[in-house]
Amino acid sequence: MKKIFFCVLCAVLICASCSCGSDTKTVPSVTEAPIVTEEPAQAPTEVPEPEGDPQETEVPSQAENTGLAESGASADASAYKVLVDKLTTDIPLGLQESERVDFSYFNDSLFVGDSVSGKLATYVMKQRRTDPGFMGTAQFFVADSFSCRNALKQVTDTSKHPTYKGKKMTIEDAVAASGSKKVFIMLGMNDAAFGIDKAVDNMVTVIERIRDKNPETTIFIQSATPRIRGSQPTTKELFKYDLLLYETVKDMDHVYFVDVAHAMRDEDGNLREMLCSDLTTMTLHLNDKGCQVWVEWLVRHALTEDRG
Amino acid sequence: MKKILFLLLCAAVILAACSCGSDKGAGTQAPAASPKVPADMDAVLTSFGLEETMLVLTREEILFIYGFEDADLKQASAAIHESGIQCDEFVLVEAVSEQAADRVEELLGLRLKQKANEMRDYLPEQYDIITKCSVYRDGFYTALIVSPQAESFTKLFKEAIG
Repeated sequence: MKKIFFCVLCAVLICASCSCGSDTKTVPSVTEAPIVTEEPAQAPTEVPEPEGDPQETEVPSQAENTGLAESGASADASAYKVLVDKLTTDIPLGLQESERVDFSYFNDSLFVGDSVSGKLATYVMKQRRTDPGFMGTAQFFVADSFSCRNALKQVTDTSKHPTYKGKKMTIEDAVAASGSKKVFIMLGMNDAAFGIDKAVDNMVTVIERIRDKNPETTIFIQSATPRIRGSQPTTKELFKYDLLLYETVKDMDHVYFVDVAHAMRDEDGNLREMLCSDLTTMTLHLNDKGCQVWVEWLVRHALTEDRG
Repeated sequence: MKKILFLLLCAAVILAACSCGSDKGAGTQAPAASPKVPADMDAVLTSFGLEETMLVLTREEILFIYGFEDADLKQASAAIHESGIQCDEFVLVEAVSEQAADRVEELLGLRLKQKANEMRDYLPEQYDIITKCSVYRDGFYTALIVSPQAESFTKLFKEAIG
């Protein structure tokens, strides 16, 4: 009887998600969500891209060269061209195409990110319903509006750190708690609007903190994916961020760059519409197809040797 | 007992019939006739056309996401929105003891705070929904219901558990 009760309750509650009523009466609460006033974050907006570029940042000159010194790693990009008009590069940055790896490649890995990665998390959970080995035993440490800037702050009741097994913590602590051997990070969408240089500096600090606490963990920095339109940040800013990010991390030990964004750009460098789930609002979140492209990129741009 | 069950089923049908779908394509019109309510949550979602927007969590996922101890839960059911940016979430737990329910309630409270933190200054409409929601506790039962219709369903939950 109790089981039936529960199922009926579930049915009643789940069907609420299809109603769109505007009834927002206050519920007599036992534990209410806190209403906190804190420094406002710059959320990616729907505002049309302004003329001019308020965040002009000098891209390292190497990015404009047609040739780069050999890094010594056959798996990495040794030379690329920046295609300025297309807001992309002729070849992907970082790890080049490899043999397709098995999903076990992602065993003992942790994906860190914001709402974009949040969608990947639910996508992976869904795929595991029919394919339990999908993405191996990869776990997710994600939170909407998460950023490197937020990641470097102290963990408090109001901080934006994600939770790992229900407990809020820093990225480096989540890596340790999960025992992950690989960390895949995609952050920047909520950083770049504050300044690309600072965003990259913060990412370096994040990497260093992970490294200090987890010296054996291999870190994969994923390029921030583009958006269709909008500002704070614009697609152009995201691309500049990705370039600077790659140039900054490419020679760090046990750090590899995975240019996921390369697979998602259209001919103008914007997010391909068929991969987007919020075409009329923020224009930057992915749908299932976008996640499929993402996963496919990861399994085909794997680390096949450790350049040490 | 049977009367309460019947009333709840009717409520489910009525609510499904007057739902008008979310901008996230939350679902088609619910079937006009009262659907048979199976024990399988996935089947329930499918019968209401919600299988494409809400993801029902497995017990392992529930334990991982909320940080519950397996031994604390007599039964648990949860679903989250697949998009990653819609705040809709339902968590229903029957704990094994008062102390276990205390722990569950605390963790769900933290979960609610976390959701608010994420949406604050990010998605104001979602933040507004979250701040109007709460964790409900009655004896061994605890529920976290985050939805624009949270009030209605919390009331039903309260009535169902007496």
